[in-house]
Amino acid sequence: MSPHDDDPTAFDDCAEFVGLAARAADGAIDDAGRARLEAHIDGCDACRRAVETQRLVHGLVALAYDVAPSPAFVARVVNGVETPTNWLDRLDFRAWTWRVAPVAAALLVAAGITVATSQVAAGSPAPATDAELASVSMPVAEALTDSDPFSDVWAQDDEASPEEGSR
Amino acid sequence: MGAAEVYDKQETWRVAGPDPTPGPDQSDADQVLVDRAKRNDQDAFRLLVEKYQSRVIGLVWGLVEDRAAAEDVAQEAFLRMFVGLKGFRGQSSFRSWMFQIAINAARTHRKARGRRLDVPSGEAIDLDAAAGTDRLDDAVVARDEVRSAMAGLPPEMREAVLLRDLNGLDYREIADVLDVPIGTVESRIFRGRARLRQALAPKPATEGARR
Repeated sequence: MSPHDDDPTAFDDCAEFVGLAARAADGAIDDAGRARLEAHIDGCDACRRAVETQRLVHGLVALAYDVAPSPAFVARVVNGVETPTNWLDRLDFRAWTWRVAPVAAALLVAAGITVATSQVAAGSPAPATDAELASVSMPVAEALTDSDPFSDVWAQDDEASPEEGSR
Repeated sequence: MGAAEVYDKQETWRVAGPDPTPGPDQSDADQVLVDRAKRNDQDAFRLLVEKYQSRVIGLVWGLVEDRAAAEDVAQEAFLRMFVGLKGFRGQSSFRSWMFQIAINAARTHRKARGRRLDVPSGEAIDLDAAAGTDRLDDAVVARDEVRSAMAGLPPEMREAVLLRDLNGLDYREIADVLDVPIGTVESRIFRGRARLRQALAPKPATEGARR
């Protein structure tokens, strides 16, 4: 595409000037761009006309849509806005939903861990209570005494083998 | 044609109008109002609407091609702006963001209702006064003709031309609003204006009319 596609007599080597032509027409061109375009336009009438066209239409568009809004427009818009009127609305739950979401998520995770831990503990035998221990037939004290189970054997051995000194 | 006259012709395009892009002060002023409006300050919101109503309605009008609907769509855009204000972090200028909302609202409207053209109002503008040129033989053209010509453009060209020529966004801002490369913006604006000029060119007289 070149600035003068509609001109069959023009050359096709003007494509790089499309952006500069548009900008030159509305004042958004820097000094370097302006210098390049001016140098080109000095020898290219088609591009010169293209820039004039751009400038002409640039002015027309603003005029065609120059709007005088209806006097009630602002009031209509402002009245359409629902501003918070009570403390419940002022709390702005939408905003708070996002703010407390991470905290809520952390609490949920913690609760989940707690439940899972208690379920694992329920699968292993619970420690005996005092009443349960008392109901066991073997006396608790005897059962739990660190007595030597081979004490009788040692006693027989002692009788069968006299003291070395007595030999 | 003398040398001085040639020089004047060249100066006509060389002396381009000022870039309508507002400076940083304007953006700062917007930011103050935006910050207040975020805190549900209704006066600040009202000031923002007052400031941008003409440009938003004009932009929407160019996109939906219906003056009456343009105010409704613009109102919808302002309400969307208010709702979204708390999420606006200022990464782009407020006006770019506002115009982006307006364009989206207009696109939604066009999809929902299809195209409708305005009834001509008969207002006229003088092209010579508007653009300082004598290249058009019939120098007076109805505003409606410009708007009808605009309606013949593809929407993407129309958006680019309106954002630049009506709303004064710079090329970088337009690229951000439309989410396209800046070269695409330049091309759309250039081609859009060229097509408008072709559509506005005086129609050749018919054989029958000449006799």
